[in-house]
Formats: sequence, structure tokens, C-alpha cells
Amino acid sequence: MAVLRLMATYFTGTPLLRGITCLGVIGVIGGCATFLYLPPLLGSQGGPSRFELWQETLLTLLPIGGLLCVVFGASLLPASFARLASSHYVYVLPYGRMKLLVSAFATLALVALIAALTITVYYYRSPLSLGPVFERAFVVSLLTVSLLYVVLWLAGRSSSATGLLVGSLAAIATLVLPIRFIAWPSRPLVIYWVACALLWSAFAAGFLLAPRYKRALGRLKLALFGRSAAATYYGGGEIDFLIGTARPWALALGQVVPILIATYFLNGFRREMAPSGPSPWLFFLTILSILSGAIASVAATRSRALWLRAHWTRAELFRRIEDAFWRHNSYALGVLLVMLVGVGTYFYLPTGVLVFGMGLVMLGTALSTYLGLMITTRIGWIDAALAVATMLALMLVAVYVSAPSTPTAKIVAYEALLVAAALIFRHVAQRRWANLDWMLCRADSSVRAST
Amino acid sequence: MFILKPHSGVPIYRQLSEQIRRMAASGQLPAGTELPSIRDLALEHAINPMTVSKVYSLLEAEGVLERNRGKPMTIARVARAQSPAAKRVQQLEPQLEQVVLAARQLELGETDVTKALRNTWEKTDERSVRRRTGAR
Amino acid sequence: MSVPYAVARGLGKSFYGKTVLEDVSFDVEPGDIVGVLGKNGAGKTTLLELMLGFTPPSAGSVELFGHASYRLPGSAKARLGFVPQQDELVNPLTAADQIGVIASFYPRWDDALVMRLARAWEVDLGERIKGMSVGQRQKLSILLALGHRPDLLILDEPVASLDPVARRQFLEQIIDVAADGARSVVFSSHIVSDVERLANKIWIVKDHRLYWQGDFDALKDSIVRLHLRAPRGLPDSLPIPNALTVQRNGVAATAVVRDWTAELHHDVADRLDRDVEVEIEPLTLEEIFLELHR
Repeated sequence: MAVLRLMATYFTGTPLLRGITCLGVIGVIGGCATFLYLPPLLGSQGGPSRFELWQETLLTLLPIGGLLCVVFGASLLPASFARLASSHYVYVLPYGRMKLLVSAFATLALVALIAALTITVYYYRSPLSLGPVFERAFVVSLLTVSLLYVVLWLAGRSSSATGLLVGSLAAIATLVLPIRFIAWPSRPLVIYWVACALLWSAFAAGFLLAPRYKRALGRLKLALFGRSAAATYYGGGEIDFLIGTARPWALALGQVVPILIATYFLNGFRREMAPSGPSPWLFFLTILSILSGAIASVAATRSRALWLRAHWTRAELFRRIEDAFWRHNSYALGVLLVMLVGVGTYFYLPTGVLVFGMGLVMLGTALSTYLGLMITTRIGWIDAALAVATMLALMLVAVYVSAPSTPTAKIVAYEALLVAAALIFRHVAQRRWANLDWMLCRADSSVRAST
Repeated sequence: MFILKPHSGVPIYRQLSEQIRRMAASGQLPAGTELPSIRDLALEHAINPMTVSKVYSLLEAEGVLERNRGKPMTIARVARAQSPAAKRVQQLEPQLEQVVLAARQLELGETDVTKALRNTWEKTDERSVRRRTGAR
Repeated sequence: MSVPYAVARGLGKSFYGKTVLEDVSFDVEPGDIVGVLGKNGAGKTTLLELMLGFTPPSAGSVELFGHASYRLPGSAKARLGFVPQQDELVNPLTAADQIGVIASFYPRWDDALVMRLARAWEVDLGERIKGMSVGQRQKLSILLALGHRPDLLILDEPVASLDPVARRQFLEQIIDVAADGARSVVFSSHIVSDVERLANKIWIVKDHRLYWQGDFDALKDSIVRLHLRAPRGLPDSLPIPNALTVQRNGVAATAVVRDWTAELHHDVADRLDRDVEVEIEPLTLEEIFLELHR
């Protein structure tokens, strides 16, 4: 059936995404199985445990990692959906738009199902009864996943820092919100079902009726956005315009609101950290620090026009672009550090957390920027694996930093390792740029962005 | 001034050079007429300026055009008088070929053709030559 | 003899194991207008990218202004202009800003020229690039490559999206660039009629090689169509050398031949009976291209 075929394309559009989806499915199934059949992991609840902290964290993270992979495996959904929706076929096929809509809904429901199953598994050994947990998990996942993909679509369209920020924000929301709301039995479930139903009916109505109102919409858009102020060229910063680092304040200030919202959701306004500890919050900050580097991944492709015109060799080009990125990142990094210190002080977090947290955030920015700059040809398995490994490593260190029992020496050692990794990435990037071949650079930009 | 067909198969340089030669020989372009500059002619007909330059140089070597320092190319003054008849006859080559080919297709013999030629010669006198070619 | 602006010797390029180009040699002299023809996927863009130094050659060499393209120094880059097939414009900027950004990289920028052309070509400098049509974007890309008055201008399918009026304006501008004989243009295009008007040299990319690299007039003299007519019938085997295609039609035959010379003409005339007519028809560039790819 056309619907099933459409769903298959969302998950397996490119070889890379196919791999990620498979990895995700394996991760979810494997992780859940491990969870169910191994002795209970009680370390995070204060009891004795058979595993070390890092092993526990890994096992905990595995199903979630798998889930994330499945989510990103379907990341072609927004782009394909948008493309098909405005294509000729949709008008020609019988019930074209309807089938497209159904395929999107089915895909999201599938992802939400997997998410719900994964989350239910986490509560397997807890005293809560599983039925309502599953139901709650499902509806909340459906809601957040739907929002996530809408936002991913918007982010994919703009390919600017703001778009990326919004997209990642929603991605994080998918992680944080379901777990948070499940642990709030006081909220009646029916609210979420209603919210879901409202969201989908609004979307379906808009989508199916869109052709009739397209012209009016176009005029409205022109009226609202036609005269908006955009980046104007005042002289200086030519590099920034050509490689996309021209608006650092957008990213920097845009991070403030999500951080505040996340902090509220995780802790409320009490001045005590929630029992879950500062680790999710630190996760959050770390992920945001990685954002800055996402733009770096397209720097190589966009630098061709720059090389053609400027008096620089490829090696000099790398140095200039590296400078441009650090100039751009410094704004966002500055904001992150201020928020870290500010919120941390508000919640009376130990100094150790603050200090090493700052280091972590800076490392996140550096690592992701150089990883992005390392991408000078088509994204291969190695680059993608490296990116995932780095992210996991950062999250792992975040857990260590926020756990009170970790010895300082260990944390210092880990952060030093990350520094070394950053230097290695820089060296590799530098060498690759010295022999940059723009014929090999052409890659699918949406795949880059999702990586 | 000229009719050039870039897509006719005949190279542009040949079209242009033959037209200039013919017009200079027939008096349609009297001696001393200024020809457009290379750039202007190329722009007017949307053709390669090197082609125009090639033609001008070629015709200058043949003596059909003469170059004046600082001024555009002009039709040479002495071209007609000094060029021997044999050379001028060469310029009729393309038309003669066409006549011969057409005659063969119509299965006419050489004598038929020369007879027709004489008739046509007598019919067209000096005045009608000038009227046909538009020379002053 | 002037120093050529671009020289290639034995240039080859392979890509993930596939050969894209091999044994390509050419010269671009000042004042040349070179038309590059080839079927889609034949390697035209690769050839241009090799010339510009975007990618290193797998074999042979290519030099611009005496320097290896892959390591082109800044002084040479200032004499080079390029219009890519897919434009590299920055969407949020206005056209005027985009021009400003590009102009800042060059020591010499002819503002008056760019303004005059923008007005003549009806490019609204205040318009945001994001909202421009494909044709307008293409025109803007061409303007960006003209402003610094490059000695060598390389264009990859520059007029694919332009209407005939805009195309004629573009042609005239190219003629203007090359008219003083000191600047050269290399452009690839599928619009053969434009190439026919403008080019004095033709490169035909076919089967990973340059089938033809040289004078356009010589190409027209080299590939011609022969018409043979014999009232008493033609012999069964026709002594036509280098024939690309031969068609017989009773007492007439048509053949397209390549590498045609005056000697070959005598040769053929000798070998045929006296009453067989041999007429030579010159071909248009499009016909030449089609016959080569039959």
C-alpha cells in the first residue's frame, strides 16, 4: 500500500539513515531486553548495585540512545512530507493528500509507540502499575514527537542558527518532557489526549484544506514578512555572510528561554535541586553547546566561493574560518556560561559542578565545532560514529560531574581527555582543509544538519 | 550594412569577407567608405570580434581595405583599378558554381548556359546594375 | 606569441574509481571565446572545476596564468571570474549587499559597470535574493563575476534560465569583454546557437576526452556533409573515408564525414565516375554535434 511505502521511505531514505534506524531498533530492543532480564539497577536510587556508575549509565542510556536513533532515523519525514505535499503527484493521485497525512500520522504513532515501550521498560521494576504508565507515556510521546517533527521541518527549511536552535530545543523536549510528566500522576491524562487530538485535527484540517487558501496565505506572508529587517551588509564580516556565521546573537540569546523553561520543568521554583539531580539539566546545557558546531558542518561546502575570491591558500582559509566560528561561538558560549553560573548559584549547586560544568560546556562547543569542520567530504560512517561517540562521552562526563560521589581527579582526567580529543579533531580538520577538494564536498545538507 | 547568418553552415568569416569584397568591387561600398569598428560590428551582429578582426586583416592584406591610423578601416581607393580581371573574376566563383550545379540538375548543356548568359548580359545595362545594387 | 591564460596538458580526472576525463590538453589565448559542448554528464563541469582549481587533477596538469590551478595564488585569483551552474548567493542579503560582499575581496571593482548592467538587465538591486526568480539570480551571478574585470571569465551554463532578450544582452556583454583582445571567456552551454555566434574555439567533450579542441572555423571545414548524385547509379560500395554516417537513396547518397580536407576531396572525386557529382554542404554547429553523437 502506498501509505506503507511512504513510511518506509521516511525511515530509510539514505543509506546513512537506514543504518541509524537499524542501530536504533537494535539499541531499543537490546537495551530493553537487558533492562528486563538483568538484576535491578538500583544505583541511581541509592541502593547497592552490581555495576559501576559508568556501566549503569551506559545501560540506562542504551535504550534511550536507540530511541534517539529511531527518531533521527525518521528525520527525513518532515522534508519528504513537505516536498511531496507541494508536488504534482499529490494532486493527481486519488486521495493523495489523505494518504500522505495518514502515512505521517502512522509514522509518528509508531515512533511514539516505541518511545512508550522504552519508557515503560524503565518503570518495570518500580511499584507503579504498567498499564497507566504505558498509556501516559504513549500520549505524551505522541504529542511531543508530533511537535518535534513540525519543528524539525521548520528548522530544516531555514538552515540558519535560529532554525537549528529551535529544532534541537524540540529534540531535547522529547527527552525531558515525557519522563517528567509521567512522574506527575496528579495531572489528568485526558488533558494530553485532548491536546493531541486538537493538534492533529488542526494540522489535518490545515493540510487538507490548504490548496484552497494558498493564495490568501501567500499574500498574508508577504504582508507580514516582506518588510522585515534582515542581515544587512554594513561592511566587514564578509566571511561571516558567505559561511553563515553572520548572526551570532540569534543563537546566543535564543538559548536563554529554553534553558529557563527546562529549568522550571525540571525543578520548579524551589531553590533545591530535584532528586533527579543536576544531571538532566547538565545534559541539556551540553547538548546546546553542541549546536554551535552544527553550522560548522556546512562550512566546507560554502567556502568554495570564498576561496575563489580571497587571497588565501586553503590552509589560510581554514584559519580564517576557524576564527570566524570562534567569534560566532563566543556569544553563545558566553551566554551558556552565564546561565550555568546564574542558575547554579540559585540552586545552591556545589562549586565543583559549576566549575567542571563550565569546562564541559566549553569542551562541547570546541569538540562539535572541530567535528563539523572535519566534514570535508561525504559524511561517512566514521564521521557519524565519531559524532555519536563524542556526544555520548560528553553526556557521560556530565553525569560524572553532577554525581556527588565522583572523585575530582577522575573528572579532571576525563575533561583532559576531551581536551586532547578536541586538539586531535582540530589537527585532522586542518589537514583535511589543506587539501580540500570541492568536488567531493557535495553532500545532502539535511543529512548533515540532522547529524 | 551586411547580412550575416551565423547558423547557415557557411562560416561567418567567409560570409563577411565575401560580402565586403563583392560590395567593394561592385561599387556598392565606394572607396573611402568607413567600416564599423571591430567591436561595433561584433556587437551589432552578436558575433565573435576575433572573426571580424580576422576578416579585416585578411582583406587588408588583399588590398580591399586599408587601415588608417586612429581612424576606422576604409574601403581601399585603388582596389578596383589595380586588381587584375582574373582576380576579380574569382569573386564570381560562388555564383558561377551555383549556376553550373543548377544547370546540371536541369540537364542543360554548356552551350545552353552561355546562350542564356549572353541574353541576360544584354538585358541588364549599367543603369539597372546601379538600381539593383542600390549604389548611388 | 602571447602567453596563454590557461594551459592543460594530459589532464585527467578519476573519481571513486570512475574515469571522468582523460588526456585533455588545451590552450586559452587572450581574446579567445571558447565554447564547451558536450552531452549531460560528459564531464564539462568537471573540466571547468579542474581549470579553476576546485579539485586536483588525477593525471597531467592544468595551469592558469602560469600557476597550477589547485594552488592558485591570490594574484591570479583576482584575474579570474566564475559563474557556477548553481548560484552561490546568500539568501538573506539584498542584491546590492551581495555585490558589496563580493566586491570587498577585489582590489579593483568597476562599480559603474555593475550599476549600468544591473539597470540594463533589469536586476533590482534592492530586492532580497531569497525572493528572486531563477533568471534574476542567474543574472546577478553573472554580474558578480564581471565587476572586477577578470582577464579570464569561466561560465558554466550561464544562460540556462534566461529568456531570449536577457540571453542576447548577455551575449553582447561577452563580446564586449573579449573585444579588446586581451580578455578571454570560456563558457559551456547547451544553447548551441549562442555558442555558434560567439565562439572562435570549440571544445567538444565526448567519451571522457576532448573530441575537438581548436578553431571553430576549422571544425566547420573538418566535418561536412557530402551529397553524391549519379544519374546512372552509384557503385555498391562508396569510397568515402572517415564517414560518420552514410545514407543511400537510389541514385543519390548522403554522407557525413570528418577530418575532411582538400586532398580527400580529390581522392573521392578520383575514385568515383566522372559523372558523379560531389557537393559539399557545410553543417551548423548543432548538426555537427548531433552527427558526432549518433
